Amino acid sequence: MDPVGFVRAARPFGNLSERELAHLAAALEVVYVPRGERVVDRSSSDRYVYLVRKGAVRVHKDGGVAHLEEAEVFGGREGAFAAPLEAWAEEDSLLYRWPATVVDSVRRVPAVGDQVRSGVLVPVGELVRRPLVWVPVEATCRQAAERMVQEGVSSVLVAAQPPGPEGLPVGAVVGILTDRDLRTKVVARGLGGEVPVASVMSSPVHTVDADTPTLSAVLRMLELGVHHLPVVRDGRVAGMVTDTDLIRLQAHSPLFLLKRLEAGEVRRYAEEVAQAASALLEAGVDVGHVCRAVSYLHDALCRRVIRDAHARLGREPALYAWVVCGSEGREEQVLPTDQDNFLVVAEDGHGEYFRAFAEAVAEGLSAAGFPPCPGGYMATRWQMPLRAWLHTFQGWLADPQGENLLHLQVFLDFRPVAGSLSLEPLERVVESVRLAPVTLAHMARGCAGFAVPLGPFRTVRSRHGRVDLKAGLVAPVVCAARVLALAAGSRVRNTFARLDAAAEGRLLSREDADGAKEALAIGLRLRLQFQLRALARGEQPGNEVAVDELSGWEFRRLRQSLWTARQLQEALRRRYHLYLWG
Amino acid sequence: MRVVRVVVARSLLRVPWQEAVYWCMDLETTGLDPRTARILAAAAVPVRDGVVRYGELYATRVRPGRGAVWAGAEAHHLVPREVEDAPRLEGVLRRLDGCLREGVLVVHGSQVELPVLQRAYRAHGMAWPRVPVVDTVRLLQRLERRVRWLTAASVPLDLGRARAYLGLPAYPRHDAASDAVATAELFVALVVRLGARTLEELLRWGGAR
Repeated sequence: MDPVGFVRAARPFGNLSERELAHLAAALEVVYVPRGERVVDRSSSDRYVYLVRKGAVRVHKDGGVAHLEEAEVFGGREGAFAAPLEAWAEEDSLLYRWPATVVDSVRRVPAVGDQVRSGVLVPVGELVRRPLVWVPVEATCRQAAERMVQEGVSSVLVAAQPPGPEGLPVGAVVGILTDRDLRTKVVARGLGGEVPVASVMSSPVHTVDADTPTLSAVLRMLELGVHHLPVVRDGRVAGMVTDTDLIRLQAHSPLFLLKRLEAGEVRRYAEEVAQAASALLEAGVDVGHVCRAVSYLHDALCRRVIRDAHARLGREPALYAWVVCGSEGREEQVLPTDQDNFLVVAEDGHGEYFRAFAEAVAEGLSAAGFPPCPGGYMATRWQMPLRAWLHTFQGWLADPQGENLLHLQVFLDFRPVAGSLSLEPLERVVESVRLAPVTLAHMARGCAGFAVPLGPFRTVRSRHGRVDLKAGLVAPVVCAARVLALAAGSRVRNTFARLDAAAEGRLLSREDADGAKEALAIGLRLRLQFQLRALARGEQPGNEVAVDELSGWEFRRLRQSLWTARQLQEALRRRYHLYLWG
Repeated sequence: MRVVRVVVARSLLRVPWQEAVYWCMDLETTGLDPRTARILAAAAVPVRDGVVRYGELYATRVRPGRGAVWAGAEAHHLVPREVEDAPRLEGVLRRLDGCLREGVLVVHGSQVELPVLQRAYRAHGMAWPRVPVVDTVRLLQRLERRVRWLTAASVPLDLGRARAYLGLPAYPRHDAASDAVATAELFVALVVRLGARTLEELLRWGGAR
């Protein structure tokens, strides 16, 4: 990695723009200090900021000693290892350095500070731009429309009583009327302007607290599929934020993508969702949140495609549920990979319709960039009446070995995204696993079977310089969490949530659960970073990372995470006495 | 001419090596034969006060001109389209010449780089500045003689492997800019490892012409 590439990846001063990076590049100096020599003494340690590129440095500061490795920073006037200090090379070391003034001009507080800068943590209350626009509940649509035109807004709140001197209490809000309501419910149905707003408004109204971070508001909008959220402060409506306000904060906002989906533009979905994920990740958003945001989008896409299929094939002849499974079911899929889904139909005898339906949806999804997986877990193959599904699940659970175990690992993480058939009976079958220790033990054995790439003395074992993050880190954590959450009787699917459920059920200590969540986050984050890089180079994204391309910090975190994954496997081995199984 | 050079050099030769300026250079060419090879890319980065000044890195692609035989792509990874709008060689040579006249030229493998560069100078009617040249390959050979005496181990001479041998990070990209920086870091590490104190010693151990 060239010096600028290294600085970009190591992020010693937080997320920097390309301009700031160029500024750093122009002032970058490379020094080589042989082992045992002094890098800098107390009197001059504030002149330069050093970044360890290769080697190791011992820093003496305030009577203490620290050992710094690759990608760590010392010297200068700010930070944990600021002057005055003395530093010695413990190994032959290659160091990058900048005059402290240059670094001061670009340095930011990493992580949280970056999120503030990029806007995703700004309290949503700060985005409210204009005073609230409202109409009384007795108003007609014509009056509401006039008011919206007057004020230049796209929505009005419908209030049961006029605002007092301190504003409109939340309790007085009975509904919200948007320009979309006017188009779809009034104009499109040929109703006149004299229709009372009360008969077309949306109700109840979802609100958001003024202190909510913007990112959470974005997630909430995605979740609810709405474009306007009234902002509440101290029990009063302070104003309205719209998706446009939130999109403005980010070029590749997930909300923007949602709008395009609703408009039926799905062709470049895979590419756009990768951009949105990349933008969120760059903004320092936690990878769990990125997965959630993207998962809402995947669901929205799926529903959109299903709507199109109904438009072509007509209404369904029986109740059904379109169900996603695997990583999509757990809401952990970021880049579109294989389609993992199945179809549950309420009753027998509609094979022809649902086969055509599944084909149409599969086609739509693949047009949007989800490659079909012929022979894999796809609704085109996996569609049955609910009764047959119950039977199938019970069969797999009764003999959870070989292929059945593989099926379980995908199907147990099911999550319905469309259709109105209730899957409660299927949920109950899954829930009953809690009382089947042998089934759980088989699943635990499957989890212990993943080879975590750790060598002796906690060294990372790579193959041709690469580590498979899926098989070596993500999968063991996901599988362990599944077993423990099922054992705790939890119905949640997301691995982070499952680990919490395991901790609440006292199957895992709080520290171990948090450690496992951290390990999973590292695995998902590194994988996503490498996948996005591969996409940017026009390559097929995979599950492997090149160890050489990790910064020292990333490498140490990866090593720690692999260790955590292995500990988790050990815990399962002990809990289910797998040592006795051989 | 020669007399002048010796006078200038003598004053420099005895002082600590850090007081001279070293320009570490790398060329990408269409081949290894200096009679036919054309320069496709050039990069140079200075070492001042013993420190690599990355910010002063000069790197450019070069338009090879008519009649160039496209070869060596497996080494330089360039295709004709990438250099068709690049600056002409003459301007690049003038810029490099300014660098060279500031001090010492450092290259990794002088047998190829030097003749190609000198030939390019002649082709453009420019006088070769006869600067002192240090070849990092020769410094590595010097290191090997010392190491072998102690351990019978050999020292790799290839740029990437030599860097790994000295504990320097890997640069997966092989373009002129990366290789110039890679050479500069290797040079500084070798100076330290060999314990060189003056330019005179460096020229004795690694000098080329």
